[in-house]
Amino acid sequence: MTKATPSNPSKGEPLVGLAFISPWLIGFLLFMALPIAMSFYYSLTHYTLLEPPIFAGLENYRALLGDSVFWTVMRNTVIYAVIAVPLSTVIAVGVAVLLSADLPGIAFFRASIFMPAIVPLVAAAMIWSWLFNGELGMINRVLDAVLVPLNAVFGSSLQGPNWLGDAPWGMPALIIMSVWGIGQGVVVYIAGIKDVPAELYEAAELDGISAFGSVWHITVPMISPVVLFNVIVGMIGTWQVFAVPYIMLGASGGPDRAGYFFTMYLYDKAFSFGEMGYASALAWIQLLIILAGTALTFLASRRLVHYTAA
Amino acid sequence: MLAALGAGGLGFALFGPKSAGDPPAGRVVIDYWEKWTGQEALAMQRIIDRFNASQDRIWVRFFSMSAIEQKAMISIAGNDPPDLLGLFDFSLPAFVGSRALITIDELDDAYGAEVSRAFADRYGVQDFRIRREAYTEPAWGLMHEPAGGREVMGGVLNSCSTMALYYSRKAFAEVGLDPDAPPRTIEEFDRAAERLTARAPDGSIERSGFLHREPGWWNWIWGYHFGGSLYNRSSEQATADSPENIAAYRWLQSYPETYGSQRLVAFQSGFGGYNSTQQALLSGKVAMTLHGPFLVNVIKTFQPDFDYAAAPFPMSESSYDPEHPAALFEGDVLCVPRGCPNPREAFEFIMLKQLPENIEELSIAHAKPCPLARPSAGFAARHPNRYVEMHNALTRSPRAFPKPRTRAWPQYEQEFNAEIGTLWSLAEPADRVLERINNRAQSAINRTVNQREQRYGAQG
Repeated sequence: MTKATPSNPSKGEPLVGLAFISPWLIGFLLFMALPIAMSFYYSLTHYTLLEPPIFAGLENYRALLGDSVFWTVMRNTVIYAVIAVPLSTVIAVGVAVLLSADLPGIAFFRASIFMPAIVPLVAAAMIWSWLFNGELGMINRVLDAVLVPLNAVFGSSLQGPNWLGDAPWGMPALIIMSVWGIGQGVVVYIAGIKDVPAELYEAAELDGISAFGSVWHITVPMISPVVLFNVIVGMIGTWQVFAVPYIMLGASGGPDRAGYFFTMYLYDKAFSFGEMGYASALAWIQLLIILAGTALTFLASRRLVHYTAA
Repeated sequence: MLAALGAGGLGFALFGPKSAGDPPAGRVVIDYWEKWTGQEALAMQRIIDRFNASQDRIWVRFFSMSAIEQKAMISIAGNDPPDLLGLFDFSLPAFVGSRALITIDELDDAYGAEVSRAFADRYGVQDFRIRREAYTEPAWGLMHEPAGGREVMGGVLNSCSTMALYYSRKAFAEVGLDPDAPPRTIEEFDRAAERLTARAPDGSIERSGFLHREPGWWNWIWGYHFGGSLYNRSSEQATADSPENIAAYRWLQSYPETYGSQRLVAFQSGFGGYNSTQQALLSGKVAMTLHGPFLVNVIKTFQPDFDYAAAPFPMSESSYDPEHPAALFEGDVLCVPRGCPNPREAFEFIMLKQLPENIEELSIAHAKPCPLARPSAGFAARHPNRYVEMHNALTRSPRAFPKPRTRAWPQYEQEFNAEIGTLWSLAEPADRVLERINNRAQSAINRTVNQREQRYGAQG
């Protein structure tokens, strides 16, 4: 009887290995790979869910190009991604740098900044919709504290915007709220900062580099792989934004569809309008955009991300 | 720690929510999915409890749920639907058009005589069938939908509503308007709205006479009160940009023009939720509103002494006809999805629900009008809404209009919901916005028509 060794695996071992991962493998094939393949097929059909699909070739994709709402949701989602992701990243890194200091009571602040990450999205959206209320919201009350004296001095009539009722202000409101949710990123950045070798800071100090200089020249490059990871995850997340605008601005994204995002349209097409084929085409476009965005980010990061030698 | 968890678990088991209990052995269990919650669901549960107790063969299990259309679609697509579905009437075009329901005609052909005999024995009701003469003409129309070149009954009306003008009698009296003489035409209505609008010294609004966007559930409706409509069913054409609709939405825009768009938006953002004391009419923020009769259930709950009145919503001068008022007429339909395990038993419950006393009981509990052509003598007296006779009259009016009966309606309606902000902000003139809505709606309608013809031929 041959005894299996790491360098001489028996013939049966691969099968045993496969058997061990089969729960995952079967789950993946049944619940991921098969639905993904089916969704591609459905994207080539007219499918209402209630009736069998009819093959339609590329008709759904052609229809998308001429669909003004499709371009509206594309524009909204891109604007949100382009502003919210970098803004959240910069603020999260800044906060992480501050919170990585070993000061008494710092744990309280770390916990506080992380707290929003554990608040259910629906509850958070409800709270923020009241904070943004144009008439009674706390944000406008705070703005009033600034604007009322200004109005008195300059004779102007400035007032806080109607964040959720006025088309141009819906998107800024959503972006502000997204910044509130940086806690998870901050925790990851703090972990990254803690891994930066202390001798680098000591050397910088000996060279007389300022605090900002050491953050810019040491911390940021050293945690750049972590930043890249968070940027990619954040970007993917922006293409899946759904619950917050749905609750804060309503099912059609508020006035002029200013807060109507890609996934909201996809959901409506599939389940509200009974156009599962069209929705599947949207899902495939979404997947391609996310893949392209991720690839571009990786390419752009080659010169910016610093990987330390193992 | 473990002790605390154990105590919590024991407490939950003893005092936590209880299931309705398992059905008695030997019964055919039929699952009924319905969108109602709270008092509305409890009213249906009472009828179900009586049905379950009245015989020993069938047990109806009631499930209250949100987003019922979506769940119904998925369950039917997955070939595992419930036995009974409570849908909105505007869902019938999609569900009937796709042959996803067993029509009431089919059920009646298969089981009507048998169920009728059972009813004679059990309830002493002779020869009970679902008959046209029992319902008002608009109610009968609401249950039907064309499929395969003929009208079929997709479901039976579970409850129905007509929308009307509701107003605060106190506000009317305060500004010298006669609370017993509501406005009848749009012109009278505008004059009343102006008098009812109260402004603060700085020009901000303290009370609005009327706001088209409160409660904001029917952004598409205004053209009907100018003699227009949104859809021509025979030609399958969207008519959102008809002259009547353009006139209606110019009228809508006259309000932000008069009172200031930003000012109205800011004012409205301070309104509380519909089911609360901060509801716009109850809190005195608006004096008049378009609403359904079920508003009285909110009044009863939050401000029982609120002095309200109701009347048919005004019409433009040219389309005003006191004998035939126009009103949105909408309903909830009880249907049997194709592929359900127990269609015969589901039909028996449907028949029970259609007994006049059960229709009236549910209508009263929901504070809605009665779809029956001849409600019982005591119906109005037992009804919580003192204007129910007016609502009943609206359900009989030949100008009672349903939501446009097309599979594309959800998309059509969303176009209005998305564009109402543009109209209200006066960013674009009404005719241009309506043209855009019409084009998109027509494109959605064309898609459904093309697919229907591909599947079922020209007859549909």
